[in-house]
This record gives sequence, C-alpha cells and structure tokens, in this order.
Amino acid sequence: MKRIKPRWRGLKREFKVWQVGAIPGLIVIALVLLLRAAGMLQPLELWAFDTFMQLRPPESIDEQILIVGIDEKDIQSVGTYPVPDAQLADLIEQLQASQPIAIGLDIVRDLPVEPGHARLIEAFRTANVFGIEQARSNGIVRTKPPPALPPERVGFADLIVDDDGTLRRALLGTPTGTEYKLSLPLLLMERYLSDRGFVMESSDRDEQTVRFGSTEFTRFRNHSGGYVNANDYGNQILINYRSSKSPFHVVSLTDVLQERVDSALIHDRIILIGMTAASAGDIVQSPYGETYGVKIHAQIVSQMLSSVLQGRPLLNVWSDRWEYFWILGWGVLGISLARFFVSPLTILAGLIASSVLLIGVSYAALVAGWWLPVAPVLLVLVLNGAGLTASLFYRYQQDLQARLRDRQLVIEQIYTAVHNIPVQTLKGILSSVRQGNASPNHFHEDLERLEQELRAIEESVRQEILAQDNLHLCGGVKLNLQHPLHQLLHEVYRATVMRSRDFHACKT
Amino acid sequence: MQSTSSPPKIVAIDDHAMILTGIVDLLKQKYPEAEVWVAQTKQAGQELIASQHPDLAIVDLAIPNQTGSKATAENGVTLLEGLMQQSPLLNIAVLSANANPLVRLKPQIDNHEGGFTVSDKGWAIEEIVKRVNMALEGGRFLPKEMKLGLELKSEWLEMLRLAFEEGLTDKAIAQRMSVAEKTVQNYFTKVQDVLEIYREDGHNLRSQTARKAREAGLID
Repeated sequence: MKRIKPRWRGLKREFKVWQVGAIPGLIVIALVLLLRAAGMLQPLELWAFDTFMQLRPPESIDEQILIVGIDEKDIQSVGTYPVPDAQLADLIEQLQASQPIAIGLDIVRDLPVEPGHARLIEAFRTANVFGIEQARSNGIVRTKPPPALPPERVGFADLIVDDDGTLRRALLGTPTGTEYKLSLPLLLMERYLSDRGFVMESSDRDEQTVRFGSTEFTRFRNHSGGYVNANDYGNQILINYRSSKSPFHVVSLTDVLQERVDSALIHDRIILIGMTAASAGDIVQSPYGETYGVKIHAQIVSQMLSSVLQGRPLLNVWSDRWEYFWILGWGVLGISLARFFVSPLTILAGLIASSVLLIGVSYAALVAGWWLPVAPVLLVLVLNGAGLTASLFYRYQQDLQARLRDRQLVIEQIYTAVHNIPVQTLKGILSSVRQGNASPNHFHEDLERLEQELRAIEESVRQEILAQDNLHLCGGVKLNLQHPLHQLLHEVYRATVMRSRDFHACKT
Repeated sequence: MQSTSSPPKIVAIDDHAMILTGIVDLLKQKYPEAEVWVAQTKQAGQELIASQHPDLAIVDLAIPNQTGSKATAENGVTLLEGLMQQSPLLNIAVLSANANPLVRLKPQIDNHEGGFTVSDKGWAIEEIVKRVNMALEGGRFLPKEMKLGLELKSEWLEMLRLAFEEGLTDKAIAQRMSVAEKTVQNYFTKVQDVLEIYREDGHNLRSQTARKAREAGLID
C-alpha cells in the first residue's frame, strides 16, 4: 500500500496538471475542428494537397494511351476552324489502320462541319469509335452528341471544377432525367478492359460504386478528405494524377495524317483525340497548372487502367471518425510537448520535429494513396505547442521576477539588521574609544557582544533563505522540530527561564 | 574518570588538521606514551571510538558526516549525543566556534559521568589544551552560554548538604545516597563547574566549593 500511494498521488497530481494545462489545449482543438467543419480550412487543405501532389516522385509514361492533339499548327495547315469533318475522318481512318483498341473523339460534333460530313459518318460506323456530349447543362444550352453515333458509344465530357478553379475529381457517371450516363473515359477504359476479360460491375457495398475485378473506385463524398460540403452528385472519384511532366505520348493531327507516327504508338492503345490549341479554349486548371481537357480525360483513363491492371494506388481517404482521432491525437501531442519538456527551447525543438514528422508522414501517405488531413493537424499541433510554449515563457519570467523580489527583500533585511544592531554597538565602542574612557574590560565585553550580534544576524538570514522545519519563538529562539522531544523541551525551558524577567508572574 | 597512570588512548575528530595537530603535540609532551588516532568525519570517528575504546574523545562540533559532505554543527551534536549514550564514562573535549547548538544536550551532559569540557576555537592553544586535559582527568567545563545562573540537580544539592553540613566522607555520602563513590566525585566536578571553581586556582577545591556554595546560599 505504502508504495502504491505515492504513485497514485503522483497520477492524481499529473491529472490535475493536465486539467489546468489541457483545457485551453482542448479548446484550441475544438475550435480548429469547428473551423474545419465550417469549411474555413478547405482552401488550406486543397493547397497542401496540390503541393504534395506536385512534389511526388515522377512516374513513367503510360504506354496504354496515345493523345492526338490538334494544335495551332494543325489548325493553320488545315486553314479553317472548326477543323472540318473530312480531316477528322482522315485521322480516324489513318489511326484505324494501326488497330487501336478504342478511339475517343473529345471534340464536339453535334452539327456537321463540311466538307466531309458523310465520310465522318462512315468513320463513326466502326464499333471502337466514341464521341462526346454534355451531360449537364449548367443552365445554358446542352451540347448534344454526334447524331451518327449510337448512344452506347457516346460518353459525356463534363469536368468538375472546385471553387478555386482547380480540377481534382472525375465524374464517371451521372443521372440525367430518366437516363444514367457514363463519361467518355469510363467508356474507353471499359472497352480496353473488356478485351482483357474484365467486366464493369457494381460494388457489393454500394450499387453506384464501379468495380472491375477486385478494384473498386470508391465514390467521392461531399466531406471526403479536406473537402467540406463539396458537390458530390453522380459518381465521382478523386483523380490520382500521374506524376510526370509528360505522362502520355502526344502527337499532332499533321503527324498522323503524314504517317509520321510509329504504328506501335497506336496499336492496342486507347487513342484520345482532342484540341491542344490554346485558341480552342478547352483548357482547365489541374494541381499541376493549366492543362488541355483531352489530357485530363487521358489522366482519368490512365489512373483507372493502371489501378486495375498494374495495381497503381487510387486516392483513398479516412472516414471522418479517423480524421478526428488523427487531429485530436496530434493536438494532444502538442499539449504534452509543453507538459513533458521543461525548457521553452526544447519545446520549440520538439514542435519543429513533430511538425516535420507530421508533414513527412502526410506526404508519404499521399504517395501511397492516402489523403490525410494536414492543415487542421498542423494547426492544432502548432497552436497548442507554441501557445503553451509562450505561456511557459511567461511563467518562467514570472518566476524570475519573484525570485529577484525575494532576493531584494533578503538584502534589505540584512541591511536593516546590520544597521540596527551591530552598527549601533560599533558606534558605541567607537565613541567610548574616542572619549578615551574605554577600559580594556568594557572593550572586551563590547567586542564579544558585537560578535554575538553578527552571528545572530547570520542565523536569522539563514532561516530566511532555507525554509526548514523550524519553529521561531520570540526573543530570537529557533527550534528545529526534527530534534528529539526531550531536547526541544529543554530548549523551551531555557528560553523561558532566560526571559523570566519578561514574565511578571514568575518573578522570584 | 580514567586514571592517568597508564598511557591514555585518545581519538580526535576534526576535519581541520591545524588546531588538532597543535593540541595533539602539546598533549604528547604531557603524555609521551599516549596513543592518538585521528578521524576526519563523524562516521569515521564513531567507528574509531567503537573499536578503540579511548579514554578521551576530542570532538570538533563542525564536522562532515562522511567524506565530501558539508561540515555542520548538527553532525557534531548528534555524534556527541550518541557517544554519551553508548559510553557514559567516556571523557569528552569539545572544540567549537559557537556552543549554542550544544544547549539542547545540556540535560544529557549533566547526567554524563565522564569528563566534559567545551573550548572555544578562538582561544589560545594552551588554553584549549588545559580544557582538553581537564576533560581527560574527568573534569567539567561548560561555557557561559550553556549556564543559566546556578542550575543544579537535586542530587548535587543533597551531596553538598551531606558533605558540608554533615561532614561525611565521599564513601559515606555514596552509601547514604546509594550511588558509587565515583559518582559522588563526579557530582563534585559538576557543582564545581557551576560554581566556577577550577583546579588552576591553586586552592583546595573542597574548601573552595564549601565557601562558594555557602556564599550562593546552597548550604547553611
């Protein structure tokens, strides 16, 4: 029992310290969680996400996809815009010669662009050619699909852009009135995968979640990752961009028409045809900067194919509960830094180390496909660590001031004591010496008295400095309460007898 | 109370060799055969005294408890307390700069049957040796700070009455009081210290004691 008691008391004391120190820390955590819930931290989270995305190690070129970009030079050599159907028909024919798996035409062709419309209709007959439409109208006119294409070979090209203008999600499917439409990238990859024996299925857990084999494309929800109240209509997934300056082979219309493209780049691949001319205006903002729409579609196809066929990670997020645990945990770490390190400098070092660790862990997790909260975590860690550090600095300052005040008091006390008693005695000795009436006997007595007075001052000062278990009686008697009782009683007896002249009733 | 016929055994406990060397040298002049051991700490001193059973212990009040620790008067006081408890006949000579810490041992010193003298370190070395020698001979000398006027135990008064009013010998007093004869002699040294009668005065101690006790009104 005796051994447990102090430990229990220590625990209790520790708990008390935490009660005092932790409450402001927990309030800070609660405030940050509130800020996060209110969406105030979303821009920070998305900025951290983009930064980490850009910093990821580069990946190889995706050899499953070829982009045919119609650029400014192509438009100039064709001499008219939009590019007429005849050129597109030529392009498709030329590509088909090398036997691609699928061709996606990411160019609006709801209306004929003569000359050559009839030839394009002919080219559309081949079963591996896909076109685009617009699934959602945004209130303006909805772009329609090329009339010559059957509906099963028309995917939508709608892109979802965040409030800050950056595209981080892909829309795979969306209900439009009575129908449920699929996106061009999904159709293209489904074609590619069906050649390899995969069938598009629904997840067992969620009907809307797309699954190929064992790979599920977890749907984006309005609170996924750092998002708060995002628009999660339809079936969306986060885009795990292929990290590379040139993730795909890109050739131009002219390259293909003039047969300057190696057929190996076309054979057995998904071909995406789109505008890569700034003037065409098909430009969106990605975490890597401005990109042509056709390249975004390529990214979506690429990430889905790579995850099914090569096991490349998709972007996952934690459930809200785990995210809150994560934030809370780091917040508590921030508080404990201030609790367990004493000097503010150590706390600061600990704070920097744990911040670096947090950022490192978050980055490594993102590379591995997990998007963890960063901004709120860093905020609780730094606010708690730094806040408590600051208060520690304050406490230290207060301590120092109190100690200085004490010292000043002791010095004043010594000064007063020296001045009041021994100096007076000394003056008396001096004056009697000056007057020449100092007999050696008196002189000797005075000096002895002086010695005793000085010694008494030394004792009293020591009492002030050392807080001992002493009992001070008036008349300058000090009792050390650790001495045996009979000795203490004797001292009290002596003190009483010595002061008997002060007690009138005791006069003998 | 040990006789001085056989060479005395002396243990000295002091962490400063200076004063000690002077005292020991002078003692050796007087007792060339004396055996002297020196300890520098309380613990070493206790061990030496327990193993050598000396006739005299010279104790500096301010000594460290063990090697390396700080010298305090508290260590000396507790050492003396233990010595008086374990060896009631041991002669003790205390050196100190300040006798105040000893005050709380006063009742024990009054009961101690060996010699007990206290010397101020500020005294001349001859003066100190005189007190040390006095302790070795079973005498008693306490400084003024430790005395409260005429502070006497009832046994001492009874002894004075038997000796000077009834004129009994030490042996008769011892029989009447049912104590040893040596105890009676010990009572005398204590009373003499209270009355400030010391051997160096060159007078007959007993008649001096009778005169001063009468002057102080202790006997008729």
